[in-house]
Amino acid sequence: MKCHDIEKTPITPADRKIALVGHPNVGKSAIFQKLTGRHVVISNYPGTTIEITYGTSKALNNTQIIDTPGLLTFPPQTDDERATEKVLLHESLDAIVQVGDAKNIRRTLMLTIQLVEMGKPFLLALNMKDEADARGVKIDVDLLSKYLSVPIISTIATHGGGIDELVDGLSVLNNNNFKLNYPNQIERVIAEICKRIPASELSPRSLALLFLAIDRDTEDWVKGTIDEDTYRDLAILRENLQVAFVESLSETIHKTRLEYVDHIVSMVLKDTGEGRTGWSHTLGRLSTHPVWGIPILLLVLGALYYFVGVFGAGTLVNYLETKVFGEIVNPKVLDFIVSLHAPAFITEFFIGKYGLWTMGVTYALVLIFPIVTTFFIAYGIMEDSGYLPRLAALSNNIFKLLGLNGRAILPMVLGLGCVTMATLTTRVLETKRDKLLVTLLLALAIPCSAQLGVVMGMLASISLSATIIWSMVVLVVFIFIGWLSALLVPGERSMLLIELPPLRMPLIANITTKTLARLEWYLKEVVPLFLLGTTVMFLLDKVGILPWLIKAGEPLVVGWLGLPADASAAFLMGFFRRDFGATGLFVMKTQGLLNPLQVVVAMVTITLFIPCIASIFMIAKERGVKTTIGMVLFIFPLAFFIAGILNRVLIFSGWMI
Amino acid sequence: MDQMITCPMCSTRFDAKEHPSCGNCPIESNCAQTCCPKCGFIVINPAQSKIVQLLSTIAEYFQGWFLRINQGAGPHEKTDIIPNGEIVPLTEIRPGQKAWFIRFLDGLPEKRVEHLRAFGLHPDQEILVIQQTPITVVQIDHTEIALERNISKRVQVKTEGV
Repeated sequence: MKCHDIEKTPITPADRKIALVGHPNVGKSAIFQKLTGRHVVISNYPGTTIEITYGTSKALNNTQIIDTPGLLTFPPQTDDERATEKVLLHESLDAIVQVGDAKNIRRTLMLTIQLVEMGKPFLLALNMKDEADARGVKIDVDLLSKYLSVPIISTIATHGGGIDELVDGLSVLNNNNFKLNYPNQIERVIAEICKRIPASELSPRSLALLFLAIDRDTEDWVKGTIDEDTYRDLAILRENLQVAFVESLSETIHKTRLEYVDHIVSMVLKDTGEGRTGWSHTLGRLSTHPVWGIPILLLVLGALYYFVGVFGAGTLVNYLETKVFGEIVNPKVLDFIVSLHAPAFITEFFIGKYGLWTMGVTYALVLIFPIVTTFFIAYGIMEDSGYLPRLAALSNNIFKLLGLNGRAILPMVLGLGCVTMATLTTRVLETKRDKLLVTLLLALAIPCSAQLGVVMGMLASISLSATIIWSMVVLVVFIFIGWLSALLVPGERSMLLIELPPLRMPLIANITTKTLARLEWYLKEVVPLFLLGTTVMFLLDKVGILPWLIKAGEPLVVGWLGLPADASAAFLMGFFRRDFGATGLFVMKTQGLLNPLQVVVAMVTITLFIPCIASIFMIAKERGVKTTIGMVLFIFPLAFFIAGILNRVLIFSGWMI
Repeated sequence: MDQMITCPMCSTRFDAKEHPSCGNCPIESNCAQTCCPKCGFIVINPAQSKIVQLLSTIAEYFQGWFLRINQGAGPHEKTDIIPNGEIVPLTEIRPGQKAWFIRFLDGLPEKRVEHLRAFGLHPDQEILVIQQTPITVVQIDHTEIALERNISKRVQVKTEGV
């Protein structure tokens, strides 16, 4: 469906960059996938932990396509949205392509205006036309395109419908001449502002409007590019303008746009359509139902834990560790290294206790890789199916006490599978505060599946009361520290407001591409960290710091925790491999070195103890080194403190003596 | 309780309340049985059994509770109709009912207001309430959103009516 009779240049110009922008859940990724195929790279946008996906479109003569996170409106309110704005502000884009939801035309057009005003060549892909048709929504796309003076293509990305027309439309992109007139006083101030701000990627007009609406990132950019006096002039202009209006400038601008959109929609929307039916609708309603939603929730969470925590972290890891690496790869590597007859130092560097191979590579490929893969697959399915928001909606009430909202359920549950991966999932949370709080709780009080099995087994073999004591202590610590940190960490609690998109069947192609791209990211950005960390550990060990730590820890372990001195070594081991640490304690118990009381204290210690080294790396990556150090310094003493108190309480109460 | 009974023997329908056959019976009319006026077959009349009455009261109570939960009505919601055309918080609209957006109350963070506007909450915009527990879920145009109570109680809407 082409909307312009413009002379077409026969070949798409080379070296172009296009950004895909749009609301969440409109199928941007599906469009992106259809345009770029498998050639995608995922990386964090500089200065953020937000995933930006880059791809090249062969059909468009290797145009680079940038997929941005969903954005509801400008000014951006969440980290995700800010990253999108950064892409628009700083990348030299040749065109902006909005992917919109065909059935929600009014919402879509509100964003369209904001994007078109930015001045770049623009195209609107009205996606999910099948869903619009199913609901009886009818839009006169040609008329709409005429009104806005921009090309509009209807697409059904999941089936590839309209993609050819989209590619055609994208190969020729012309400047847009769209102009919406705001109230006179505002227009006058816009003109004044435009005179004073320097040229940039986006049109001066759109920057002026963002400035008037008090957008933080635009503000920073303006402050950074003009001198103080000019900035003061602009600020004064804005203040004076605000005085002339009862509502905020942001609201007034919004109102003008809304009137325009309402006007257009009344012309082009032929039928508003009715409600939905079908399995997606029924299942969708059930999934948030106060009664039926619960079993569905438990089913999904159970499946998630099983797939990542049991299959991934258990079965796959075991298989790789014993069969693949244990029997085949390791012997070969060991033989090879030994055959080099290198000095002991070098040999140990590779295959010693903290060897680059024995620890670093093993960690990254044998232990974490299977977990990462199952995790990315599970996460991709949750994302694409549309169930994730429903999960958050149902569990919201539980998290209010902890100063969080329902979005936190995902990392918490995944944490029972693997805390390292769960830390990565904190990206679903909207604000830095939320991410920090959840990361802290994950590191402190969520036991990952690696140790959970051994811990539960050991406690069960003592008595039911042992398990209860352990559970209660961990639960109370979780709730209390959660509540306390929510109180102390500055910032407001994010009230839950989330869209519930229709439940959709995830596309295997989409999930495969996303998973592969994320695995590539993992190999490129996380594995080197492991190798670096291993080297550091190795050096620390050689220099004698690690043995010293164990020795130094012994008085604490013996005197305060009431455990045998050997437990200190087990705890240190637990830092490297959760399961080894727990197993070390298990061995001590079978040798009769730990009485029941000591077992409980040891289990509490290892659960609350700082997370494994992989998690520490992930936390450092996501939250920064300073925060990580702060957390470690907080958690470490706290874990020992609580375990010691427990020790005394249990002795005092005469439990099991 | 409706006391029309169909005799299982001869299929006559009769009203047990009228005690059609008790007059001829040597047992007084307070027995838990009813006799068919046509064939004399003894039919148990559940309405006369105290235990059945008790059980059915309990059943009705649970039915009402389940029905309300099923509709997603919250614990504080009254189930009687709100007078037409009133301006109330969104939390007071029953599932299945429509309302029209009026304004936001104080106390909503700026980012929530912006987001709600972006979802389509404009003055006079029609909202369809889908449920209120465990969280408010509404439909605006063809978008469904979930908002927690802290938000929905600060959204003022106008109810259906003149």
